[in-house]
Amino acid sequence: MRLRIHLIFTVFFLIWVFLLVRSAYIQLAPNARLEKVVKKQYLSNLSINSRRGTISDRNGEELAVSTTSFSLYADPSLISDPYIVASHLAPLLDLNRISLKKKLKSQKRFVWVKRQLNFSEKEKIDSLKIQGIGFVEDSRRIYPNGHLLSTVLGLVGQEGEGLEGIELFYNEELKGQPLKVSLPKDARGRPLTLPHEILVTNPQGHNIELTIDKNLQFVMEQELLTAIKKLNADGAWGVILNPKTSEVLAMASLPQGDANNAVDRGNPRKFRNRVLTDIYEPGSTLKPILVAGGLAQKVLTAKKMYNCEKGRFKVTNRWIKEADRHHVFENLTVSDILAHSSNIGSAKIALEMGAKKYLGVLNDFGFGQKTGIDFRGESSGLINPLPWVPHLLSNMGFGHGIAVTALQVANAYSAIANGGVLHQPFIVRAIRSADGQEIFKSVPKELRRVLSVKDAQEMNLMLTAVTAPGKTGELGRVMGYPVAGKTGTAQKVNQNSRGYQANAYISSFAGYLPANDPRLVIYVAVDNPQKNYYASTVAAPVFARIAANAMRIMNVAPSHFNEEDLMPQRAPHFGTVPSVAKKFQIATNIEKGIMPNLKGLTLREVYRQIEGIDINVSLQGRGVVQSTFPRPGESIKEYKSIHVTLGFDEKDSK
Amino acid sequence: MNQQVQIKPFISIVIIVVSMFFLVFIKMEVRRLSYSVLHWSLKEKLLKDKYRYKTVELAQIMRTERIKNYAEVHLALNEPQKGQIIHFTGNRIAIKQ
Repeated sequence: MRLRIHLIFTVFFLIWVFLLVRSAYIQLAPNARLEKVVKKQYLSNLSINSRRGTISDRNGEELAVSTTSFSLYADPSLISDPYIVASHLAPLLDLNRISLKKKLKSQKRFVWVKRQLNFSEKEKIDSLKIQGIGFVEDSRRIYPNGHLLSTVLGLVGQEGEGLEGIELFYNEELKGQPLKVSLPKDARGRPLTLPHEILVTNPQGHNIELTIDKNLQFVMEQELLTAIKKLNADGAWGVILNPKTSEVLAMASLPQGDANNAVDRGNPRKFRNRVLTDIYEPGSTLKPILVAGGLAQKVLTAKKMYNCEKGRFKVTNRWIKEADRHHVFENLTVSDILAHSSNIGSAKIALEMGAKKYLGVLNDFGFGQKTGIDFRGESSGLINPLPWVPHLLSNMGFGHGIAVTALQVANAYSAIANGGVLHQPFIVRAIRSADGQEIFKSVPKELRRVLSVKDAQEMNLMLTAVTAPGKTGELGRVMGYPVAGKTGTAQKVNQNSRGYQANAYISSFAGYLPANDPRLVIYVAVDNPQKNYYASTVAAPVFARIAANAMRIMNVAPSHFNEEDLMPQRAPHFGTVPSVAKKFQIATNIEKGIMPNLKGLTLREVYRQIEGIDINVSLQGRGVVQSTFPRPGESIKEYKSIHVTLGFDEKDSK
Repeated sequence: MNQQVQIKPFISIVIIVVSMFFLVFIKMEVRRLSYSVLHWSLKEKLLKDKYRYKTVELAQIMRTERIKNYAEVHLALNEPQKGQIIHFTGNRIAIKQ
């Protein structure tokens, strides 16, 4: 009996010892599998999405930013009355009530109702306290300037990936990495011992600083838009470069979309950057490249004479004519060939230079190859391979039979403007991390010298002569600044078959200013203007307006002007500017409570006169003051407001 | 003396029990504060995001295109024409543009 008891005790003792040893082994000995199981039980994986970096201009003005948004979802099984919920939500979300009701009646447990709602929309929906709906925090890309620079910035998709433009090219840098942290959680899944910083600061992608100047960009877009409206054109595009570095200061292609607008986002054509992607015959803007090549190859000098055959010149079996039938030239110097934009003169230079040399010149200036700008979708242009028949060579002399991009032309002019060095254009100035650390900084890249300084100076003089009075680029002049440039009118190539489209032209102007110390190279092109197509009257004035505003924005002091420029000038559309005596009289009358005679004043002047007086002004019309109520001389004491009718004087509006 | 000997184990047990309760209380307080931090952190983030959103909204309202449009439509102002723009040169000479 005693033995049995001892035996049972021993057996149970051994079992307990085994269990203790085993549990000690499980608890104390390292075991990867068990550790994983344990961690899974109490650790929560928190993933914080990265916010897309900001894109700003060279002055730090934000062009594309990301903010928090909210995506609304619904669990239809928890919604008791889809009809009522749909009726409440549809007007707030700008959705169709019937289709929303269908969504809410679905058999799924999760449906998106609307994505990327803003704070105010979320608050409105929250206040309804609807059961069965919820929000997921999201990120939304906003372009604060709307249309501005949209063809360069591009757009991002709903999942936050770059689809076009800079957003696409620098997608990896901008998007950043989501932050993943493992934290202990409680029974309700809430994270415990959370580091405070993780919650309040989103991880962010890198910020990109462009070389673009927002003000120059705005001026360029406005002028191109005005040109499209005024000339009834299909489109217009332009680019402004810094000739010393080839950094892009403005780049516009109109019409363009607004990436904030869902309808525009669905139309990729509205985000096509035609400055880089479209190729077309440059027309006469290529003539200076031919002449520059001629100077570099020692084929010609500025004073060399060419017989321009009185407007008709036969090359093999084809006739070459001047662009304007009134242009009947005989002997012209090379400088005059540019100034008068003679096709025959240019053809003769090209024939004299020969195909091989001319091809070398074109390649040197960067034609027929991508410029290497940091932008996806750039076209390399089109140059026929050698051999060229004489007719093609002569045509290429005046910018036909070759296809280029606007950027290639502008960059080639930059080389002439800066004294003969071709640079690689670039659009991103710097990339910085979210904490401001510089990750990348652009350095101007010199590609090659294409002209000697002396030849570049000679080209400069010849191109400045193009904008002299009576020459083709006259309307491209900007008061106070010497302008060097060249017009270009080219017929549009038929996309579907051989030859050219009837009555369809691209009018362009490429130039730089001030010619004595170039600060900007500006290229503008107007696509298929309906009212007029000669570049001298279409593109040159657009160039001049952009250039004048750009000089003002950049604080470049005018370098040459005459006495007449200093004289006060009467505004073209406004009435007589009142004299000092009249202004004094107005102020005195107002103080006495008598309605002064405001006739002929601009709105700005009216406001200036009544400044500090407790009276409201209601306005009607535009222009200068035509009449007022109360009438001049009447008391204004009993009136709380005065009514001002504005208009244009008949003689001024003519 | 005998009474003192008898009370000593009792005091020890009380101290141990109170210490344990205190430890538990401290743990619970830490947990409660962490929930509070979580709550206010989320609020802070929301406010930061809201501030950011308002800044962007302000930038949208202040965009050049909109101001230009407002000036033309509501204030009846016009684009400056040639001759209305005056440029000051470095020599304090004003020339018209």
